[in-house]
Amino acid sequence: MHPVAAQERRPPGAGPPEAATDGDLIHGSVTEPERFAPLFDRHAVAVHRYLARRIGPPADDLLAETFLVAFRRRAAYRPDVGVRPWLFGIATNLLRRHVRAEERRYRALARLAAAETQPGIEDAIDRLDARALRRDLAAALASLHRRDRDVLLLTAWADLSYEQIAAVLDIPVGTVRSRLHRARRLTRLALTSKEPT
Amino acid sequence: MNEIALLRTHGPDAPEASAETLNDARNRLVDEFPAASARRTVRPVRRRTLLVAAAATTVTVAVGVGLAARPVDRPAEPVTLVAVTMPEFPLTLRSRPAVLAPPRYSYEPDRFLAVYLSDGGADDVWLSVRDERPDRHALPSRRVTVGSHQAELYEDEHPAAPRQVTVTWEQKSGRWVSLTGHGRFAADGALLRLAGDVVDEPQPIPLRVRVAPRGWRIASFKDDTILTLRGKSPGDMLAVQVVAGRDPDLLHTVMGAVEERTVTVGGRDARLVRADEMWFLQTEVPGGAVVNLQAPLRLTVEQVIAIAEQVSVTPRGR
Repeated sequence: MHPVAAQERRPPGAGPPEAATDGDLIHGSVTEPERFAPLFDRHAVAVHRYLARRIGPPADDLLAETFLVAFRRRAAYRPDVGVRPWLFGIATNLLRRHVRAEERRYRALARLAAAETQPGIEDAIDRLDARALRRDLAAALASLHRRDRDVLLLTAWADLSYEQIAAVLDIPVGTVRSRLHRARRLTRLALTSKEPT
Repeated sequence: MNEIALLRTHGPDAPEASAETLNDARNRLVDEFPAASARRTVRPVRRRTLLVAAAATTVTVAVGVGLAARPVDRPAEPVTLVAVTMPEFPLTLRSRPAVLAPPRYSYEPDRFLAVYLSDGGADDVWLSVRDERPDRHALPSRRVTVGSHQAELYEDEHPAAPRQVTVTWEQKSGRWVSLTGHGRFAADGALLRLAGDVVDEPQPIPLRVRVAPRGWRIASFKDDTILTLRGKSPGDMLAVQVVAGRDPDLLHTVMGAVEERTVTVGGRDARLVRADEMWFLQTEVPGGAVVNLQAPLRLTVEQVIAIAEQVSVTPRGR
């Protein structure tokens, strides 16, 4: 069985009680590099999902790059951040080289949602609502400034706190709050301005 | 349902990673391990000197500005402001090619970086200084010389990114220098000629603070525009950021803003916002730059103003 699949399918709490923490592994990997491998097994699926939601198929390459960068910088890891948020931060920084591709993807998804075939009679209202939501959310994401979008999606899709986002993007917490506030306001505006259609 | 919940349920989605994708990525990672082990076993133990020393001098030169804490808006732990010595980038290019702009500096605990942006964006050059030999990630390299120093030249691997070539050498004991070239400077000869022009000449950082709470250290600065100092407690952070201009509506753009007032900073009107968890001060500094300063509420208003009065921004030359 693929090691990642085995790790991800293990029920919570079913691991061996002596399993090393993320912090132990990353600390140990500085002198014993192979100890880094379980971190991939633990977090790769989540990191890939975050990347794929943002950029689509190029996420495959960026996943590998995220872990290579993390491995190369493992000695500089700050234990107060947490390994998964740290990985999300690296992934987010790598995405900056692909801003245009990311925005193209959102615009394409918005067009796709708008062009979906008409739903059946029974659930027409629900499906129309969902389709409009998908379209408007994708369009809103495409229109946000990259820095605001980073903070919004680290909150929504990576589930990071203000403090974690501040740490991984190396910006003040107040800036995180301001960017998130602005991103949410603009997203809300994009949703409400098209309602009802 | 709010925007965050909507993004989770109806935002763009993607299929899960395939087993093949995960395998490929894992294999690329594991392929790095043997070389990392080898490097680890031969790497000499060195004292961290350059960067640690630079950071340590930032706030320990306590000449005592003498602003003891005088709680104004809430009871505060005693805070004393002391002088800050800013680290300087120790190197420069003796002859900067005309295509390159003056450097922008960034600093983090293990690296000090000068970025020379090129006119068209294709020929950027990065000059970095570390206390330890940088990890060249098991990439194939060849031996070259820079001045009288042995050096390694290698091409960095970054899928989907423009080609970049790096030359690394130990300029003096405990000071490792790397020069990375893109575009025309990714040619071996051009990069080595540039490396030969790297000389010792400390460069001041354009964004500077001169006082800070005792014991706080410079944690990072980025691109000449964001400077962060941290104390020992998690909430002890002071951030100074150069911004494009004044924001006319701070009460709405500063998250958690409670009240706003006008204060005087260096003889100029500035605006101070008290937010849920911080002070937010926006002021103009001599020379016309506008900066935002964020500080914990345990600093007094007078201390926030005293820090802001000692912020300077050197205009970028060409």
